[in-house]
Amino acid sequence: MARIWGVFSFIIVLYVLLVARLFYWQVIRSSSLRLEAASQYYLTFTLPAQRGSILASDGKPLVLNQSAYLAYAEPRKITNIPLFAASVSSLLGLDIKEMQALLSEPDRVWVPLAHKVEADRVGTLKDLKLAGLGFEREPKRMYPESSMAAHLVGFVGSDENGKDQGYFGVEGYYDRELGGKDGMLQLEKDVRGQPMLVGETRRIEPEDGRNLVLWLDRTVQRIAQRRLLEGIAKYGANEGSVVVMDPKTGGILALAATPSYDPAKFSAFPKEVYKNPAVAASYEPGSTFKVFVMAMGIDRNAVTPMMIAQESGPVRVGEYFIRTWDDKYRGSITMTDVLVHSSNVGMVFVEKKLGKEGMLKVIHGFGFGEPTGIDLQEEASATTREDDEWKEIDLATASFGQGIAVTPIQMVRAASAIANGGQLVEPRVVKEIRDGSGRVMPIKPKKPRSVISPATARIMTEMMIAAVDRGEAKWAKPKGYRIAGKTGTAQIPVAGHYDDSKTIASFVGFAPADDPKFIMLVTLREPASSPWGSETAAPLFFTIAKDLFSYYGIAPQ
Amino acid sequence: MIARFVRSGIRFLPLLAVVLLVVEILVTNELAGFGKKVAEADRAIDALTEENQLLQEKVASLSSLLTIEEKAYALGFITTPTVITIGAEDVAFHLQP
Repeated sequence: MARIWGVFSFIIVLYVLLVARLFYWQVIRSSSLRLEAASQYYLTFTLPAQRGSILASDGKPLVLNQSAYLAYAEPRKITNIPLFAASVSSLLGLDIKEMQALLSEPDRVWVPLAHKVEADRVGTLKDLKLAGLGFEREPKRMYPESSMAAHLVGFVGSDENGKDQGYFGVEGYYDRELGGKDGMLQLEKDVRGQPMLVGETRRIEPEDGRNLVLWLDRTVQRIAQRRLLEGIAKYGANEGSVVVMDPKTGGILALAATPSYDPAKFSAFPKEVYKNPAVAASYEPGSTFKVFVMAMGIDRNAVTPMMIAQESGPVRVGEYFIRTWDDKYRGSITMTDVLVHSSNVGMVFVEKKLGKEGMLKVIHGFGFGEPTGIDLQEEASATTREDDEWKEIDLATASFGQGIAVTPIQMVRAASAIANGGQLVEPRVVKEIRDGSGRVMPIKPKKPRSVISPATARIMTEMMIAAVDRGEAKWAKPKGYRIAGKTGTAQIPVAGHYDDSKTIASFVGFAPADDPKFIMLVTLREPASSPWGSETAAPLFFTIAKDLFSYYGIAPQ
Repeated sequence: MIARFVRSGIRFLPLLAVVLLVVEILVTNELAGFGKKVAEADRAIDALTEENQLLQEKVASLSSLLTIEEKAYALGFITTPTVITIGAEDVAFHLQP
């Protein structure tokens, strides 16, 4: 009986093993076996999708595809490798010895020589009529405006599989829309690996990438870039940026930053310059931040433009003394004069009136400490303290823009709320997306949130006009125009303390003040000619504004 | 009657086969020629696409601000040093007595 049970158990075990093995092959390995089988039956080719173009607001291309080719060699077809290498290497910019070694390797049937070779060079190579030299289409990016708006556009490199991929800027943020979807051609092959004439054919057409139309105005961008370079040379600054935005829509009209790079030769530049400092680098805003504290003070009826503050000497906050920037004290001054003379003591007065809750409303309400949502890949936001970590001295220094970090794009967005009647808009780079069939998909801006009332925005506009007309930078202002703005000079924190000689000078403003066409922020890092924003960033702002008035045909008011 | 019709039909089968063979040869020949035409059309499409792209590149280069600026300077244009704005009240029409 035991023997029967033994045989029975043995058969059952064999049966279970058989089922397990079948499960392995038919379920677990099913997909990989299917692929292996398909590779024996079919030849598969990728039909690459064309990457979409990036157009300026006038429809002219900033980035488009250029005819280019992958140059490859088939060593088995080459009769004289040294002669082949000598003929081709110089035209492709390759080392002749390395090329000879590569082509002489045994069992190499296909050797890629150079990627993205331009059509004219390919024409010259084709004229040589060399056996074993072949080409495949491999479009590359072309930049008709050279390095214009490089930080905004980004560049196209390769991913880990060697496929094109957008990095930084619009190329990075909209990589999927621009890249499209590759197609596929599958042909049944015979035993020799040749496609069968009557075999099964499967073709999936590629979907080309979509074209992006930006808010960017080429002329405004050109003006901003050129003037920024001139300004950096004139004032001896290390770095600088100019952001020009439509305050009503949030559309970015121009964004220039230095140091920059050429996206066509991005690998020749250090990686540090790839990131757009206007959205990825933070700085202490200094006095430009005063307008937001003042705006909140007026909006919450904590202060009025004619309210008097006493500026009789340094004001004590805890164990610290807050001084004015020029260490001069004007006695009784109105809130408007606090902005005109950029009084730190006056701003501490406003901060005391607002209290901690009011100051936190300034930071959160105007969108500091959070990303603006701009459609650029590398946007980063400087973190602010947790609400319960703000001490008395922190709130006092924040009232005049020290001890708090912002990005230029956050600053422009916040200031645009004063320019457009109190709405915090979302900055946008791309205006619309166009697909291959000509369908246009506008990118509608998100509903802005209200920060201050329209009445407060009007009052603040007048106070900022006064700050321009009577402030330290009044000498540089174009005559006859109503420009609202504010200078800023912030010391740079180095190893835990502020360096007196190193500053970030800035000016934020909008014009024409009553119906703004543009809002602009100019920042200069460590200007050598003068550390003050009123003597560096402000005149640069007004120079660009003059050009924009001419371009837009805006007459003095 | 039917049997006679079938027998005469069978007699014509070789002839029908020959006719069908000739037709197949002619159609295959035509199709082979047609395939060549398709290949030629594909090549023409590729060449025109290529040419179109090259022309687009050329148009983009020639209409870039850099090129326009260079040509403007070469033609003697200069940057406006100052802009004078004339108010509506200053124009001749308003200055008439």
